[in-house]
Amino acid sequence: MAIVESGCEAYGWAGPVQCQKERIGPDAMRGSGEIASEAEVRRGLSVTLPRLWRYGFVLSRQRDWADDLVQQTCLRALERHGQFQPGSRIDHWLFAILNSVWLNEVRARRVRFGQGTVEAETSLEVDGAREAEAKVLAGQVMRLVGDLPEAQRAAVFLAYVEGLTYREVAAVLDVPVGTVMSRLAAARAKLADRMSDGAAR
Amino acid sequence: MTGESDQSPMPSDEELTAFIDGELEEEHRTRLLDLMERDPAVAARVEHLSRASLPFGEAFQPLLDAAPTADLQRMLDGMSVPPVAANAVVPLARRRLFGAIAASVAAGVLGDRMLVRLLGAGDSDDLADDDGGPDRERHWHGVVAQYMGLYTRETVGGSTPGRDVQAAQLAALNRPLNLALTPEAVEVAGAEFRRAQILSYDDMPLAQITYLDPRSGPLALCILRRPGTVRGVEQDRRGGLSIAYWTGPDHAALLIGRLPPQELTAKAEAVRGRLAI
Repeated sequence: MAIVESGCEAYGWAGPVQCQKERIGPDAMRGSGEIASEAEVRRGLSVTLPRLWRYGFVLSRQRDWADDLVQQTCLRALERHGQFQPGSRIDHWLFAILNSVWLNEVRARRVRFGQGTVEAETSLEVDGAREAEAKVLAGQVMRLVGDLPEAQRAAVFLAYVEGLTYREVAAVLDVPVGTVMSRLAAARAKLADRMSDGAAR
Repeated sequence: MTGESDQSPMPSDEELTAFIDGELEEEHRTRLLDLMERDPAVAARVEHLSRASLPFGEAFQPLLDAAPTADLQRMLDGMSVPPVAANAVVPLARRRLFGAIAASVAAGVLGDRMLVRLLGAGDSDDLADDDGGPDRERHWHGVVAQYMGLYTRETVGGSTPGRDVQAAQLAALNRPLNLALTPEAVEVAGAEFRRAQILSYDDMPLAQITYLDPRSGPLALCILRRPGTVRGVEQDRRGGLSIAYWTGPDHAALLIGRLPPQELTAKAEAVRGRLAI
């Protein structure tokens, strides 16, 4: 199946993404020089920290793991600043680093020792989110996403929260585009079923 | 294939999802729109899958506000990393990594288990004072002090978990450390239990139990499984933090906080009396 090529206009697609206002415009995120400097990567990290932490939290569902993930991502990014291609999206490059740190190190370690789960995993719920009526839906949406299997959760987050195109999600997760499509389709079917169940009650 | 015009097979959810997400090329999109007009089942499936078009961006906005951005920025500002060549010699890279982590932590943020893991995972030549003598026995004090130095009242904010939760958290520490910790045994006078978790130091399991002392701030009881000589409570001071430490035949323990040494030692004596290590 042919899907649209990712390009500049891909960021303007009208998918179910509501986060345009918090996204940093492509211009600000693009490198300017020929060779990525450490300062440039540092700047990119600096403006992307909250979004990196959020992705880390969505993956790990734990605040302190998210802290760890961001810290390790910063280290890797600075160490490898020469590998960043100026002109490409530095936020996506950082997401990819965070994703690989998660897969290769942090999660592996948690699974090996089962130690990160001494405390029950917190749900994807922000302190006090339940209090304000306006935040009820937000809480529900986060819970629905939080209940998805990890691979689907990551794809949903990157595509629907961060607004990445399928190709960009595939690049971040380092999987084929077809895999992204099946994860999103499975997630969509599951979420739609849950929404229908809710409406029926 | 028969009757393509009015009996097309149902497109896959992948296809319909890509359609909803605006990821299909125009021609494919038009074909699906036609199909939806002709086949109510296809339209119904698209309608169903569209129910999952939730306000994701808004829903996840609060997580951006919840991110400890200032702390992360401080960590980043304090991080100085020489670029590592792809084929760098491993011990060197590791040493650099160690230095970078130590620098970033000194500059001030988080990373408790990561720090401990990295410090512990380094080659022995990465560890200062690692000469097998008394300095080596106390090396972990410095490591613990480094990360405890990052704790603020906020780090140990929240409420005291119930006894059952405390017991469950402690139970998770007991097996790897070969201990029998109970909420009663690890009580620290005047301080509120916050959480118990397991870290690792130099590949040895390290139990960390954190408390909030309303007067002085964060406090931690740390227990390392390491055979040694039995000794009573002694005082140490690292990075502006007081440490009261003692050892049993199979474990080393310490209490660390910002209390005056005498006060901390008194609390440590009480814990030592209740705690069989």
